[in-house]
Amino acid sequence: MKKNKPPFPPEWEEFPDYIEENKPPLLPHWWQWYALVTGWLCLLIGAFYLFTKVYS
Amino acid sequence: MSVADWIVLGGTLIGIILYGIWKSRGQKDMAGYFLDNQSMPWYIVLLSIIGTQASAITFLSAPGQAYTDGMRFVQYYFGLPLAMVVICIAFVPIYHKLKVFTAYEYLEGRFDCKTRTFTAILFLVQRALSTGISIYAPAIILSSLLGWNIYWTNVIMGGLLIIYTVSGGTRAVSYTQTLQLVIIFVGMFLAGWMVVHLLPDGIGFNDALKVAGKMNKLNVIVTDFDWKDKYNIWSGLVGGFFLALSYFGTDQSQVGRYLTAKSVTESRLGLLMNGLVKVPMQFLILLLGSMVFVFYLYFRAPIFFNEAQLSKVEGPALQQLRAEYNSFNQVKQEQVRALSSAIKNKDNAGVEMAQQKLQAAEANAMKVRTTAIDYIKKADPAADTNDTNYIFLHFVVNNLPKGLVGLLIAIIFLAAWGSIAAALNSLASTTVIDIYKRQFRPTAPDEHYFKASRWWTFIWGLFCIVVAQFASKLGSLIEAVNVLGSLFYGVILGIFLVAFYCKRIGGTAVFWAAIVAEILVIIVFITNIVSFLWLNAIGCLLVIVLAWIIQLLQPAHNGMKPVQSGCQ
Repeated sequence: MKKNKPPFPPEWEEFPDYIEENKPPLLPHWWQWYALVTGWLCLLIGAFYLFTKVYS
Repeated sequence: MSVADWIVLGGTLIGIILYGIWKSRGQKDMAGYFLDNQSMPWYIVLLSIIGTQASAITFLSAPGQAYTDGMRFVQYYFGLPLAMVVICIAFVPIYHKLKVFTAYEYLEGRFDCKTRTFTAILFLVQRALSTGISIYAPAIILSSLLGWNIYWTNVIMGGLLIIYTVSGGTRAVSYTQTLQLVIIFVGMFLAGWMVVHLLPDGIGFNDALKVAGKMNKLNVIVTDFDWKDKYNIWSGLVGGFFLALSYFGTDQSQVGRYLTAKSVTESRLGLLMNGLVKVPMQFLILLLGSMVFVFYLYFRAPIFFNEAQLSKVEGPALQQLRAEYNSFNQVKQEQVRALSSAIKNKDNAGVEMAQQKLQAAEANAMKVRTTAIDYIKKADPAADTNDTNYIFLHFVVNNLPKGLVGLLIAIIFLAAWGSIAAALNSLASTTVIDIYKRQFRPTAPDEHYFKASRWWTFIWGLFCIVVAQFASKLGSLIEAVNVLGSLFYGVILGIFLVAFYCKRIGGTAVFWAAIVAEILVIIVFITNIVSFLWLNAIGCLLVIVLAWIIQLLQPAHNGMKPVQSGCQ
């Protein structure tokens, strides 16, 4: 796979398109991953907050 | 340690080394040695990422941190999940597209050679020093347990690790990390089960949680904002986000892990899953420390957990302090039973009274302990008076059954080896690809670089052992590693963010901005204006702002085009 290494410098202008072309794993859009991760973090923080309050 | 412990410990460690050597078969070139020809599935990448970050320090210091400071340390990881998504979108596809060995290769294409070299050197300094600490962490276990000389213990530990890291490259590192993590999770679960099981009859897990809460050891969330407070939700979210972004996005020890994945999708899945599991995992490790704290309320805690150090300064004054400390321990034992009894009977007045008496006894015991630590310091000025790293170890050695002690000590070694092996692999790849091949031997055959890679893995292993010899003065090891990282990560991240998002900024501007920013970060750290987590955000923002200013002052040119200067 290293044999196909592109020459430096690569075509930098391609990056934004290249990034958009790559679909995220499991979910159709990246904003859904942001929502999932943010929701998971909020859930954890909420649970930890309750944990702190209940036991202190 | 008993014979059974020695058998379990020796068998586990030898088994891992042999497994690593077995996985080393078939290595012939650099692509195999550093990237395993990009063949790893996402779950191996995930376990490798976790195994690289979770060193022995995580399993030694984190429970001790919870014992002394409660569980608020978990907030340090709150920025990590979001950082994983950003890295998946911005960093991973670029590295894969360019088919790079190291993250720093990209910087030459985007900027110039001197920026690439400078960033690679920042990484090498930071990673080599923190790897030295990671070798020292398991070494203190053996020296404390067996009375071995700490310096020779460092040498033996680092030496064993180098064997399979040199021969196996990244494939051996990743597969041994996977096996190591399975053993580690089993061992930590057993330790957690045992600490609850060893509490007095009638005291269950929920009772222990209530007692720990009353003693302020379950304070997971701290919402008060304070620049100098190390762990609150704000420093965790903002500082932790920048630190995670820099660590996982630009630190070759992590980039090297997910570059082994067979596709962009597999790399991303590994990182995203890491974002989901890291916070709960760290919470459970800290919870174990809080349970150990409760255990030592019911049973006598030593005045100083590093008993090997204590025996060096034994004398009448210390004996008197110990007697005084034990008398407060007696009060603590009485009051913790009164507290748990009142909690069970839902006697609020009784709970309040017992809590106050228990906290007063704990405060008095802490005063005596502080006096004892001062005494140790005076009697032996060279002594390490921070015993945070010994707390969990002390519990394991003195309270767990035969065989399990050996397993717990083995998992601490395995955890250390996982992160150290990845670090040595990344130090070698950065040295060979970004320094040696780029600056000194650009046209040698691949076989030459393959051999050089093995040699540099060996050389960095030796260097890190030397660093380990000086690590004893750094206090809490987990904090020392994070402080060290924060000194450099912000600036490195700033360089990469400029590369990705500030297309008009060129190499010279970002190079000088990075140098000035690094100096300013060190000044901010020395003057202790803010807590160390903020250094990540400060360093990153400084690079971006300074690079813009310098670029504006320069004659106009397209920043996207590489400026070849400084390394010719």
